[in-house]
Amino acid sequence: MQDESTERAKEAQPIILYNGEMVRPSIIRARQATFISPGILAIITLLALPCISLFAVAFMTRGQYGEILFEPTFGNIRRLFGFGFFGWSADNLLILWRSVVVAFVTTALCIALSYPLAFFLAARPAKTRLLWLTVLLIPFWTNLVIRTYAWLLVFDSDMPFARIMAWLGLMEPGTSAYPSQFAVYVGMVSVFLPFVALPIYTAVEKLDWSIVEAAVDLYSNKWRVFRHAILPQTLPGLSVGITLTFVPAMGMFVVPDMLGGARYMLIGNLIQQQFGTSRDWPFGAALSLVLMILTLGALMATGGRRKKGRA
Amino acid sequence: MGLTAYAVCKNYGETRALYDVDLAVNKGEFFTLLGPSGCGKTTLLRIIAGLEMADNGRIVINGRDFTKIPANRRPVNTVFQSYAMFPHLTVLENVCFGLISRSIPKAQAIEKARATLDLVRLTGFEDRKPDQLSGGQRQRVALARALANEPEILLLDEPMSALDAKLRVQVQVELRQIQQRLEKTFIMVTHDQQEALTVSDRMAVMGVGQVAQYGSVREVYDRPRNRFVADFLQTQNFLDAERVGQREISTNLGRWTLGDDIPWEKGCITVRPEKLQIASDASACDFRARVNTVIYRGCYQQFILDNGLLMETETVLPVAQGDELMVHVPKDAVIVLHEDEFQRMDLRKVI
Amino acid sequence: MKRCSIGSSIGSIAIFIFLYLPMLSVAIFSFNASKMGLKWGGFSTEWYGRLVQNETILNAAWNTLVLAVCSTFISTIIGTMLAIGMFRFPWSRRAMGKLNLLLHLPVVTPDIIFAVALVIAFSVIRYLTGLFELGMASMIVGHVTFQISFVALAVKGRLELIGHDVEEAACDLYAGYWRVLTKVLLPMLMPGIVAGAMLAFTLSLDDFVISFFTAGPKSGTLPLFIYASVKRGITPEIHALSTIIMVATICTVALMQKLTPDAKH
Repeated sequence: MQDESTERAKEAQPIILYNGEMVRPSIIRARQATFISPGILAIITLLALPCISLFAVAFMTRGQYGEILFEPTFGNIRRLFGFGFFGWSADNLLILWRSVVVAFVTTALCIALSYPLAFFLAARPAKTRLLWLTVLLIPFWTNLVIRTYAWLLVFDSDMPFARIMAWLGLMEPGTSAYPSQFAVYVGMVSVFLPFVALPIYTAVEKLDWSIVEAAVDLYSNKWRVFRHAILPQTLPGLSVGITLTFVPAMGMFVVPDMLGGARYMLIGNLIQQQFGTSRDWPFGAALSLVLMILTLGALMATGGRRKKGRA
Repeated sequence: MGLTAYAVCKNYGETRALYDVDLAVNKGEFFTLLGPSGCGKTTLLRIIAGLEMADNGRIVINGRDFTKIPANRRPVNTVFQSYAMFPHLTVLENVCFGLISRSIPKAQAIEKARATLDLVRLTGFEDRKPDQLSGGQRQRVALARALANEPEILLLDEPMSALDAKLRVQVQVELRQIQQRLEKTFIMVTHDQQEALTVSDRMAVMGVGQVAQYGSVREVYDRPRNRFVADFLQTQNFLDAERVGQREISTNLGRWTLGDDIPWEKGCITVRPEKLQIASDASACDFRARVNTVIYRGCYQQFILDNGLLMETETVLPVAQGDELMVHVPKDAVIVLHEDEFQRMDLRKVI
Repeated sequence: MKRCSIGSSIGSIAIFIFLYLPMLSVAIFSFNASKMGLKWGGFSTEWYGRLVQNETILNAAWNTLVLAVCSTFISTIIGTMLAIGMFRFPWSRRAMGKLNLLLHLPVVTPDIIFAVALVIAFSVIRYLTGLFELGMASMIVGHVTFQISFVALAVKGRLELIGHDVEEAACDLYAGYWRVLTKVLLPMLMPGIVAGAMLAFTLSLDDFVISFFTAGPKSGTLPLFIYASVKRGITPEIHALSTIIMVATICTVALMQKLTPDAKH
C-alpha cells in the first residue's frame, strides 16, 4: 500500500527524470508504449492469445470436412484418454507416456554425457578452448532436419553399424537400424547434448576448485566428491540444461518422425497429424493443451529447483 | 554568487538521502563535499547537475533558479566517477560532443576541443578511442569534455577514485592549477580527506544526509566542530571532560585552562597526536604517561601511551617501550567539540 | 589436482565423434559416384553440379535466404525496440513481471505449440479479413515472432552491461532525447544488436517446425525440401545439399565467434 501511494504521489508531479532527462510522465508513457508495442503485440496476438484459445478449441467439434464447429463437447478429451468409437484403447495415453519417458531418458543421458565433456572443455588451455567450444556449437547450429537425416544414413542397412549389429545377431541382416526406439534415442541425445553441455560447462568453468580439493581431502570417494562438492556448484547450469532439454524434447517432432516412424510416435507427431493430414484441429488443440500443461509443470519444477539452488 | 541550494531533500523510498541541506558556493572557488560513503554527497551533486530531482528545495546558479530545468539545459558539466566516456567515439569526438549538442559549428567546436585538450595536456591523442587510453588519460579526457563547454560550474564526482595513489597526488595538484587558471567554480565530491585538503578552498563535511560542518579547509581541519567531523578527519585522541571554570576543564589527565569558552558542562575534547609535545621541564608538564608501543613510521614516530592517547613526533627520539614521558598539551591544540551533530550553513553570510 | 581425468578425455573425444560422425558420413557420401544405395562407386562431384540445375532446390534455397534475411531485419528492429522499451524505462514491478513473462514466452514454448498457435492465429486473421494465405508472408511473420525475444534478450544483456552513466553524461553534455538515443545508446548497443541479429538469422535458417506448419505450396525452404525428399528415399543430391548447408553453418558460426568476441562469455 505504502509503495502504491508514494508511486501515485510521484505520478502527480509535473515533471520527472529518466536517465538524466526531465520529462512529463505522459511523454514517458507514450515513449515506452511506442517502443514495446510492436514486439509485445506480435507476441500477444500470434502466440499468447492463440495458446489461450486452445482451451476453447479443445472443446469444439470437428466438422465433416475438417472445419471447426462451435459445438461444445468433451469428445476430444475423452478421446485423449482413449475412449473412441471402438471402445477404449490405450494408444493415445501410451503416446503421452512415451513422450514423457523419452524426454526424461534423453535428458538423463545428456546430463551423464555432459559432465565429462564439460570437465574436458574446462581443462583445455584458454587458447584452444574457444575452438573446442565452437566445435561443440557447430552441431548445435546445424539444421535439425539435416542432422537427423545424417543418422538415417549412418543407420542404413549398407552402413557398417547395421552390418555389425546383424553380425552380432542383434538385428535382421539386410535391414536398417531405423525406424526404432534406439534410433530415436540416438537422434534425440545428439540433438540435445549441446543444450545441456554448454550450461554445465559454464558452471564448471566457474567451479571453485578449493571446495573440490577440500572434499577430496575429506571424503576421498569419487561419488561423494561429485555429490557434495561438484553437483551443488553446477546446479544452476544443470537446471538450465534440464529446462532447455526436457521441455523441447517432450514436443519433439522431427526426430521421432524421421527415425521412429509410425511405430514410435510421440505427442508432437500426433499433434502434427491433427493439424496436417487428419485436419482435426479440436483434437490437435486438446493434445497441444496437454503438452502445454506438461511444459508448464516441467518449467515450474526446474524453476523451483533453481530458486532452491540459489539459496 | 556561484551556486546556492536551499533546503534540498531527497528520499529513496524509506531511506533519506538528503535531509534539508543548504549549500552556498562562491563563484570561482574550489568547493569540496567530503564525507563517508552513503552520506548523500553524490546525490547532492547529481541534483545540482540535474541528473536527479530533489523532492524538495531549490537550486540557484548565478542567481537563476534551475530547479526545474533539465540537465541538458543547465550551465553545469560533470566529470563522472566512471568517466562515462563514449566508447564508440574518439577522444576528439568525445570532447566535441557537448559543443555539437548545442549546435556550435563543427569547425569552431573542433577548435575549442583542441584547445581544451591542450589545456589538459592531451595533444596528439585526438584520434584514439577511450579504450586505448590509460586511466589517467581517460580522466583528463573526461575533464576536457566537461570543460570544453565552459560551464559555469564544473562538478567532479570522485574524479580520482580510479587512479592509483601516486598518480592521484599528481592529478590533484594539476586539477588545482587548472581551476586557478580558469577561475571557475569547481564542486568536487570525495571521501578522501587528503584530497579535499589538497585541492579545495572551502569544504563541507557531510554526515548522513546533512552537512556536519562547512568552512575553509583550514578552519575545518584545525577546528572540527563535533565528534563526527573530528572522527572523520582522524584527530584520534578523544577525552571526556567537565567544565570547572569559564575556560577551565577537568579531564582524567588533569585540569587544563583553554583559550576558548566552553559551551557545555560535560562534553568531549580532542587533540591531534602531532600537537602533543614532550615537555622540556616539569613546569610545562601537563601529564605523565608510560610508552606502551613505539611505532617507527619513517619520517615520523608514534607512541601509544598507557592512558590510551596517541602521540606523534616529527623527529625520531630515543624513546623505548616502558619509558615515562612528560607530555605538554599546548592550550590552542585542544579542540572543544560541540554536542550538535549538524551545522546549518548561513546562506546570507556566505553570499 | 587433476581436473580432467583420462577417462573423461577419452569419453569427450568419443562424444565429439558421436556428434560429427553422421555429418561427416553425409559429406563423404556426397562425393560418391554411384547413384543408388550406399556402396562406394568412386569420387565424383556430379551431385553438386546437379543441384545447380535443380530448379526446386534453387527456389527453396532462395526462399530460405529471403525468409532469413527479411525476418532477421524486421525482428532485429522490433526486438531492439522491445529491449530498450522494457529496460530503459520505468515500469512498475507488476507490469515488468507481465512483460518479462511475455518476453520469455516464445523462448520456452515448444516449437510444435508455437507452430499450432501460429496456424490458429493465421486462420483467424484469414477468417476475419479474407487475406493472408499461407506463404512467404506468413512464414516471415511466424519467424519474426519467435526471433523477437531472442534479439531482445541479446540486446538486454548489452543494456545491462553498459549501465546508465554514459547516457547521463550525454544528457549532461546538452544532448536531447533523440541525440542520446541515436548517437549514444544505439551505437553502444551495436554489439548486442549484431549478436541478436546473428542469433535470429541462424535460428531462422535452423527452423523446421514453424516453417513446416506455416509454409504455403510455393514457399518451401531447404529443410522442408530435404524432409520431403527423405520421405521418398535417400539420394546423393540430398547429401550434396546437406553438405553445402553444413559448410555454410560452420562458416556462419565461425563468423559469429569472430564478430561478437564479447558474446562468448
